[in-house]
Amino acid sequence: MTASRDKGPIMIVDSSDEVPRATSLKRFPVPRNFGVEPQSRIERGKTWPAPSGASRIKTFQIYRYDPDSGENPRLDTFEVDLDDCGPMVLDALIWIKNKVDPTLTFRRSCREGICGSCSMNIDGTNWLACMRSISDLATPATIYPLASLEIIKDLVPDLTHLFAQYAVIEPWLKSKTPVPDGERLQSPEERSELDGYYECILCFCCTSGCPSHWWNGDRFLGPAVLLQAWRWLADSRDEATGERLDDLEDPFRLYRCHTILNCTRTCPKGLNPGKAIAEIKKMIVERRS
Amino acid sequence: MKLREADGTAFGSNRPKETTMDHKEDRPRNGSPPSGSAPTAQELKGDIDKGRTGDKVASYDPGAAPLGTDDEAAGTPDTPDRVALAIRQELENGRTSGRAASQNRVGDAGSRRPKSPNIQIYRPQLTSVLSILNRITGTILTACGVILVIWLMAAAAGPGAYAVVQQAIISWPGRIVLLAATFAFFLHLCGGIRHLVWDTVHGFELRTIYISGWTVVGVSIALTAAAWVLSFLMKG
Repeated sequence: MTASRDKGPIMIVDSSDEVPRATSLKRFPVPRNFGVEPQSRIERGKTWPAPSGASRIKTFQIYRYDPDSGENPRLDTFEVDLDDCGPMVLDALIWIKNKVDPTLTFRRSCREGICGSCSMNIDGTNWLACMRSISDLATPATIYPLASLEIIKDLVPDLTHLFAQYAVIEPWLKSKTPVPDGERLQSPEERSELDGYYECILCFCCTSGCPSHWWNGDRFLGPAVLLQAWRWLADSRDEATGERLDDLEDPFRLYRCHTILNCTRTCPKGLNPGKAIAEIKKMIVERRS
Repeated sequence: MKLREADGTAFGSNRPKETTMDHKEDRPRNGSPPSGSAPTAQELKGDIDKGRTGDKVASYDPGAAPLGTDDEAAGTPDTPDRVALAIRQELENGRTSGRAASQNRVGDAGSRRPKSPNIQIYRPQLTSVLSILNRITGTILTACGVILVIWLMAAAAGPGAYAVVQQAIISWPGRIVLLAATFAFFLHLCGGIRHLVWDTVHGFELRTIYISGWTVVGVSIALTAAAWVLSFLMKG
């Protein structure tokens, strides 16, 4: 899906599923332990060699953390036999879990980009493991959990805080008018206002890729939740627009978004959280006039 | 399991109040009376979410089917017998696993969970790099404001002081600082215009974001060069 898309100028990205091609800077020039708490420092891990007889080998460096060991996180190196493994990153993880180390822990479910479970940091950007081809990865490929979250085990981050932030925007239809006899109807035009917003699968690739959420995640709601907020503001059937805007108009909840747009760059569903947030800001300005 | 039967405790009776309260509204749908003799799947879910079954982290799980059975997912509640069996087995697991629920409680200050790396590993992209540069150039321009004030004060103080500052500015280190300041000025200016356009909710397609980003870089370099060529031409 992504490998064939290397037409066009290398500096312009047309769609979020494009793998970064310019390799001049793979990470920011900051020390590895820059601002990192002692228990979060990543140590060198084990190397798990490929089975003998494997001819096409791909090396993966994978973040590991075992809560029962009392040890720090480490970076393990796995050699995967590509002739024995499916084409996607998730296939490689499952291959490792089945054939090399059964304790490797990650979330996965649908393996087709609709459940949002297997979001992780692959070669430096957040994406779904089931939707990224192994052939698109660097050598060695690096796999970390979603950035800037507390880790439960290996590639499984604690999403409790992010779901609590989701609950803050009250993501359900609110109406004051009496319940109609039938459905609450929308015109095709009103329904199309939700396109590009209702498709969010809450994988949190965008929120975990947002530098503003890294530094102010305790109070800034982050792109995934704000996109959902706009989804309800844009819904013609919802009658709580004023209250929703009141709740969002806050220096941290909404306005910690500085339009960095890492969110739009990384969304595995090709949605545009940055645009949704700009729409909210515009709506707040317009209701004042 | 044996403990419960031995002391004759009815299911649910020694469960914390909030578990029962939380799911009061679920009872009618399950078709069971709110009595301790008919345990509900929600009670079990409460136990699982509190870490009592020993196999999961103690935290709220938004999953809608507490027992994870196909019947439940299809909207058919499990019978009290099946729920009772599940509760017995799950809590027995919790007792025999030997892991206290408090050991893996989410947000427990004692857990000392690691945080996954962010800026240390996240790939620099045009989006984030230009955002950081906008901040850095803003800081540089603030510092340049101080230099500008020093220059003006020297001019007001008299020819002697002005000559000293002027000498510093036209020295090679001074010129490099001035070149960097000019570029910082134009980058910050163009970046600011880009942000003004975004505030009108235009230019958010990914392709446009990249084109406008590289345009900001290109135009800033061109304007910097133009400003310097112009200043040398005017000097003659």
